[in-house]
Amino acid sequence: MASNGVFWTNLKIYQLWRFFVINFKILKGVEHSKRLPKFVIKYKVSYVVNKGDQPPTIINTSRPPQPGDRVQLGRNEFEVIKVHQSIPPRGEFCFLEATCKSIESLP
Amino acid sequence: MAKVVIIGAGFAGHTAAIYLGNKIGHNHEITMVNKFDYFLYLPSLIWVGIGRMKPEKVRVSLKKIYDRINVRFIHGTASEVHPDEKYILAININGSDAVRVDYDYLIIATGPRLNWEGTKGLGPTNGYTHSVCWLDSAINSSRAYNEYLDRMRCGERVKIVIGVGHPESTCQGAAFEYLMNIHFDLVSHKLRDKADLFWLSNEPVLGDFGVGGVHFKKRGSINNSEIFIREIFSKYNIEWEVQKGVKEVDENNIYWEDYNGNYGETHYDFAMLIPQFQGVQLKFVDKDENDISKNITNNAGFVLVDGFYGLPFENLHYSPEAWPAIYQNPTYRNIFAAGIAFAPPGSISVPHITPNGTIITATPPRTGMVSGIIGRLVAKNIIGLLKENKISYQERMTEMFTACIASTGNSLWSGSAVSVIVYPVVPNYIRFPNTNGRDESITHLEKGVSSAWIKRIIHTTMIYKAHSRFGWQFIPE
Repeated sequence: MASNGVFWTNLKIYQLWRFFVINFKILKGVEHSKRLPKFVIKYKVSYVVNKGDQPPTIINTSRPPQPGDRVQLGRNEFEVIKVHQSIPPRGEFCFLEATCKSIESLP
Repeated sequence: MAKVVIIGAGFAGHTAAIYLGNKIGHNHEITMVNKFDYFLYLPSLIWVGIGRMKPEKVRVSLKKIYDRINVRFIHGTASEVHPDEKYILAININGSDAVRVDYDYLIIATGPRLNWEGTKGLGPTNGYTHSVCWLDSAINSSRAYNEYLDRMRCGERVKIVIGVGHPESTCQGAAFEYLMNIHFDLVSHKLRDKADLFWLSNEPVLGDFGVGGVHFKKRGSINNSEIFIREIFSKYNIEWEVQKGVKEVDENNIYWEDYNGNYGETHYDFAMLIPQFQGVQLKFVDKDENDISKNITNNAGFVLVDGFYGLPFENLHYSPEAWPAIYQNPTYRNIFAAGIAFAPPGSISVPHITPNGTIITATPPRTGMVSGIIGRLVAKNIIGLLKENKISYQERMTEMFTACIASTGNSLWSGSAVSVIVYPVVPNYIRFPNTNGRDESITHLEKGVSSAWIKRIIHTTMIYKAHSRFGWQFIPE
């Protein structure tokens, strides 16, 4: 059995065939990997205001908020001071929590 | 014009640089900071380590390539990252003052810090063992190995121990490849009968390689890597021990602890043991000059990304989405970690804690093709963010294909190699519940001279790709 294995390992014609088989598997694997669907991350951001009466608000957005961003929640404008991930991403959704502070109230 | 800074020109960083430079180098400022002025093709260091390949064959000079693709190159090291103010401090290799390099996006692709200090007596500089983890140590290994060849020619019997030198080491594949090449080299020198070859590893079973082993179909029946490697070792008269965590090395012996908490030792004359990999010691500083490294990196110094950390192994095993998809830091979303630099959410192999509390776990390998894929993915996502303000590419290691060709003899006629083809890298038991977590139509393990041809072709094509020459985009990572 062992000498049979050595025979096939050393037979160059057979190894040429295995060369193509292995390359095919590699290219198939690369193609499977690259065939993964493109996706666009959607951010579900929970805006939480430090002090005041503004209740937490969830907004879907295509880009994540950054500290310094201004956001309008209801009639008021707030500034984002801190962003962190609330729970790990699931599929194409990323869950963030943005802590905000009040800037001004609109008339 | 945006600024993209990349720290590290290994597989991940250099791949990212050539994608970014070629695509947006004209319109945006791409900067690479690297300790060395060359890209090192690490897989071929095995051959350098036994004197079968010249060092210049594994090195690709970076400056010319980066000049051609509009990437600014800083030959130096990054010492600090200031994520609030979006800049890093880079120290030139000639030791001058730190230079501030601003960024809009940062890719940390530093690779591992080889934790030689993690095991007393380990390593080529302050220890007794050799290494093929970098060019100078591979050259020194070659010299030392040749000295032992001379001793064997004089009739001396030598014990060569190859494996891993820390209970939580990774990269068992590279060590296996080195062992195989030593065997082949000794046979070619007709000195094999003068050497005792020994494999010493922290794997739970032989052939685990830190990826939980490989199950593959051959002629209708399921085989596994444990039996495969056992047959190779038996055929080549190589002794082996697994489930061993090396604790200390002196000039004659390697001291280890096994799964049951028993202590033992293995005598050696020549040893090459892979150290534990940790994250490079980059300091993260906030706008108030506080060290916030603990918020950005895990205990081992790897950068936290969009994975789910803290799951016990039993849960992680069945949570493929716990693995990061876009390698983006969740706190500073303009920071990405590519290649070995990112923190994995856990191990792929079954972890073990001995009765003495020692963790013996073959940690997940993220070298070579995996690093290159992540580098490409991060680069494409940064391009997407700059052009369309969106991320479009994702690839978890539970979805990622990889191939690893471990040479077992550097000859295109009489040599051979083991092709390890795995899809996905991390077993996905949700998608492939009945086939050990992997696609059995692709996952494969095979040894033969055909794999040696593939190994040599990969060496040539990857060096070609590293030069960013015509058609490089069509060469898989």
